[in-house]
Amino acid sequence: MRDILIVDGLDKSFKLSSKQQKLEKTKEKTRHAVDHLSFTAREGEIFGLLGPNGAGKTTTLRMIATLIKPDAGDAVLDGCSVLKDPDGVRKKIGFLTSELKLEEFFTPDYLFDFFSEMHGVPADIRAERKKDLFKRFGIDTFAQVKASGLSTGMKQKTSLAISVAHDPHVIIFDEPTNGLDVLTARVVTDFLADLRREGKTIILSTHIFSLVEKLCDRVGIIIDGKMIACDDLANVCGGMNLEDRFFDMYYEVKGEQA
Amino acid sequence: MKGVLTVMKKELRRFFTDTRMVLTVLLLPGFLIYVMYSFMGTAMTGMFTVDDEYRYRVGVSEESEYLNMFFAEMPVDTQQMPEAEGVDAMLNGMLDVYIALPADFDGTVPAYDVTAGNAAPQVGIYYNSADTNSQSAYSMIYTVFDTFESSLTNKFDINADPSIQYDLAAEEETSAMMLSLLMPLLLTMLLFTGSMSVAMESIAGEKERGTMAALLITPVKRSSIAMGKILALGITAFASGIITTGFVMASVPKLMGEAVEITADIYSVTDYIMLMFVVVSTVLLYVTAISLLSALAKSVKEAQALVTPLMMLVVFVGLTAMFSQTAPTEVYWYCIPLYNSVQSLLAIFSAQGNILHTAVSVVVNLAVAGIGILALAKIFDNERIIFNK
Repeated sequence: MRDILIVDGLDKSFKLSSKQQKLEKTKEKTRHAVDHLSFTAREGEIFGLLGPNGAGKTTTLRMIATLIKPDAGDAVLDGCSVLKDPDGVRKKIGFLTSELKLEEFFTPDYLFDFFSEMHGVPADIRAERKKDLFKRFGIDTFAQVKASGLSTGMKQKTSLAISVAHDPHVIIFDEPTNGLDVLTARVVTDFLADLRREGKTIILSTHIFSLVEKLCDRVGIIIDGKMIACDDLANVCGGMNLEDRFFDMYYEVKGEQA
Repeated sequence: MKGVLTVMKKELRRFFTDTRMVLTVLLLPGFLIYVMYSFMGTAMTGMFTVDDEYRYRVGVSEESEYLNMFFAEMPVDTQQMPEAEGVDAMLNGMLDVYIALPADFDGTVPAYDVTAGNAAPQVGIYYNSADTNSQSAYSMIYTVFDTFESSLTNKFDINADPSIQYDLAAEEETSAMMLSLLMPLLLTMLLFTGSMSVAMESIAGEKERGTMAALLITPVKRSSIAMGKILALGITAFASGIITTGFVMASVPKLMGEAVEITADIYSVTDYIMLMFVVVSTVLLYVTAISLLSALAKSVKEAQALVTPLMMLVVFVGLTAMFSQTAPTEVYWYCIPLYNSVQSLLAIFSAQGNILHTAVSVVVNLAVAGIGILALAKIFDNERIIFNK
């Protein structure tokens, strides 16, 4: 299988405001969120970025999705560089994060049409995909209700459907099951497995071990913005379960620093 | 280009299908102005008119046949009293007017010879200008005495033929004057507030609610998103400005009372076309400026704080039209954004619109708005501003 995403030395620092400095009891002016991170994801696999909160997972995904620019390094997605051809990257990906909200005033039906149009999906294909996806997620029962009147689960399902409205080849999900009840979370994980079956590539970030064990073909473990391990799930675990293996690595890294 | 249309349609749908938005942004401001002006107009007219049934209380120093003759047709009750007592009664509010006639008015006045060189007999009319009834009685009685006096020494009459209209200035110029005094300031303010409510909602609001990033993740170019938003906001703000202006035009006659006839017939088709171009280009400029400030703000509330100084500037510039009263004739004044719109409006409403000046203003406004759209696209591309929480 070919490498569809090549992340090469991505690096990103943020300025800390004086308020953040006080809050985190640090004198550092900048936070090195992502530290020369490299990995590759292969076509048709589910690649998981695993790490604790604040490890730099979301920042990495945002750089790949072209929402923010790296300070150094590059990521090439299916031949398009996030630096040189961000529009090209945006055409190929579906991106879903809890920070992308639905406009409360509009209905799922309208929002699906709007984002399909923004992605240049022809009207007939759009109608067909809408029918399929809405049926699959049970959105058809609330397709004409304004987003402001939807529950968190309904909103997440709608966002999910919209993020793949243009049938993207690579799908990037930031914490796909965060804040969802067990039923909706199950719908999401089943959908991810189906997408893999269709030959799509999925890059997801999570801090939930079971999700990685259940879904991911390969996993990259990020701690403090650095890639600690990146390999097939079995190789990373080395015979242990993922959680134990992760904490071994975590204390190794943190112990070195202390 | 397709993206521009898609974004535009979404924004227009956002505003025009939202009943609350249509009411508060499009209809309410104009309606409130209409109600306020009508109320102010009625109150002011009431303040300066006298009840139809009212009979003026007039004191006189002596009986006079002439006076009885004058007052026979007027709503006047007279009583005779000495001057000191009359002034007292005036001060106590018992009389509206007191007339101190020269002794033997009926005899001395017709007998007075203008050419003899003696001082003319004096008529004193005491009145209180702060009291509407007294003021009104005074002007009525003054006119009667004045007419009587000129009929005694009549050599010629001025403008006495009621069938001829001597005042050639007529309604048109009064209307132009009134409208040019009011409209530039009102229109700029109304267009600005209309632009403000929609642009802050669409840019800072989307940023605050986290829906902006969803737009930025699509392959549509940042400049297309900026353009689509600005155009849709421009249309909405224009609609709001025009509807509100309609209400203002309808309420101005009510504010002025019936004394002044306001008519919009004085403007030519060219005037209206110039007006439309100025208004549209001005709205686009306002919307772009407010959008830029909103994009820099973290929330709608912060956007409000950032836009307020700009609003004060717009009002200040609008006031220049009220004070200068005539638009400048040099072309370079029309190269200054904000000022050019106000002065062009002033010229157009004074029925002195100048095509060159208007064209320069419109081109300058559109150029500045264009630069603003590019700047907005740059801001949309700036993660530090867009994801600044």
